[in-house]
Amino acid sequence: MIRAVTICLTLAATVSAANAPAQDAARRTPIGSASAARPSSMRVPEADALLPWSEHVAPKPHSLLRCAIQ
Amino acid sequence: MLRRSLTRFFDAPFSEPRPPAATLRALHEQYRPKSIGLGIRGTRGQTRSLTHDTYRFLAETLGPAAESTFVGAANLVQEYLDTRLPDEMEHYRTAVAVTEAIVKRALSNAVITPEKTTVGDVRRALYDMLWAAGVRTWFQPDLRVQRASGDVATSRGFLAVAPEATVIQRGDVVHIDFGISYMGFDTDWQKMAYVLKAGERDAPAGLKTAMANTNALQDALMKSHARPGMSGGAVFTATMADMKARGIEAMIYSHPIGNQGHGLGTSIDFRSPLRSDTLAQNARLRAGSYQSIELNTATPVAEWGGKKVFVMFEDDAHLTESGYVFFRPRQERFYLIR
Repeated sequence: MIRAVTICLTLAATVSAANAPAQDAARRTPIGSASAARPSSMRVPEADALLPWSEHVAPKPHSLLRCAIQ
Repeated sequence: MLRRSLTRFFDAPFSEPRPPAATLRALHEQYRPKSIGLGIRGTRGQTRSLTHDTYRFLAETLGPAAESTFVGAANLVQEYLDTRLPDEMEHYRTAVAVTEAIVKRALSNAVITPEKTTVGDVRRALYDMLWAAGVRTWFQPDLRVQRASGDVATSRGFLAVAPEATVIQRGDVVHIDFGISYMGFDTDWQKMAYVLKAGERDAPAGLKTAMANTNALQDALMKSHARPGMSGGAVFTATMADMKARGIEAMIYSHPIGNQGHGLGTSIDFRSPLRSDTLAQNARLRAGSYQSIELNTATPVAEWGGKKVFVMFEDDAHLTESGYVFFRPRQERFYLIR
């Protein structure tokens, strides 16, 4: 079930990313990728420090789901 | 871990998956309910959200005798969605703090360069910051710009949203309405900044007084009047009476928030005293529920030739026995853009 949810969310993120403006290639990296998916210039350190995903890794849907269930 | 967590919160009458229709029939046979509450026949949101095809599935699966017991469950749906668990507070506070951090950045020189940055630029920056943080929003962020010169544009009685091409100038008062979606929660947030003119080190005294008036409005609503069990209409009427006595021109349009940005529950707004359902128990403010305290005051500002300035705030809060408490400290000073 976890795997299915992860696949669905990753697919949704991929579709969402594919619709992002073409001029910003960095933002086309799907959520869930370990690469730098988020434009560093628009990072807000105070927000990053609060969020349960690490500084260098994009959000992991299964982590969110696990937190929600716990 | 997952199975343990699921079974902690949900009934799992069967260890092996079975077709939904068979499961439904078995549950009905086991419990033989006198009535079956559905999300139908309500007047708002989820209280009338069951799809036609899902209704047909239920009716055809359970048969006409069971269908005759179907009733609207609006009160149950509202109570469920307006009830917050203590465990949720930590995560909601995080959501609010992230919202605050993004808006503070948007209303700073990191994003705004006076005489150059447009309203559209700031809106784009808000979207970029959302993406960079890995969270989403549930509505388009809006900006409002007030300045000493020119007419005040209004829309439906409110200060109007600024056109996309508006260039932010020195001396402007800039307002942002923004919210995020995070961990199944929505936030709603309005804050204000002042763009310093050459030689200024702070906002003019008249603007500070205008902000103090909105802070006074927050105090009256949250500390003096709102209590669990009260109707939204009673809180609205008492708070507005306070403002009238103090000579403050005020508007209140606060709403429940939580799993939805505009959630089911009891609003505190100018419509509350007029609604026929405000005396129903389910229309009362519920202890522990969340409310987005959304309001404004309009105050003549001497430095602006007596022109009225709207100070519009929105902060998410939770209801205690002694009134509403913000998740984050409220704004009492203008954010300054140099």
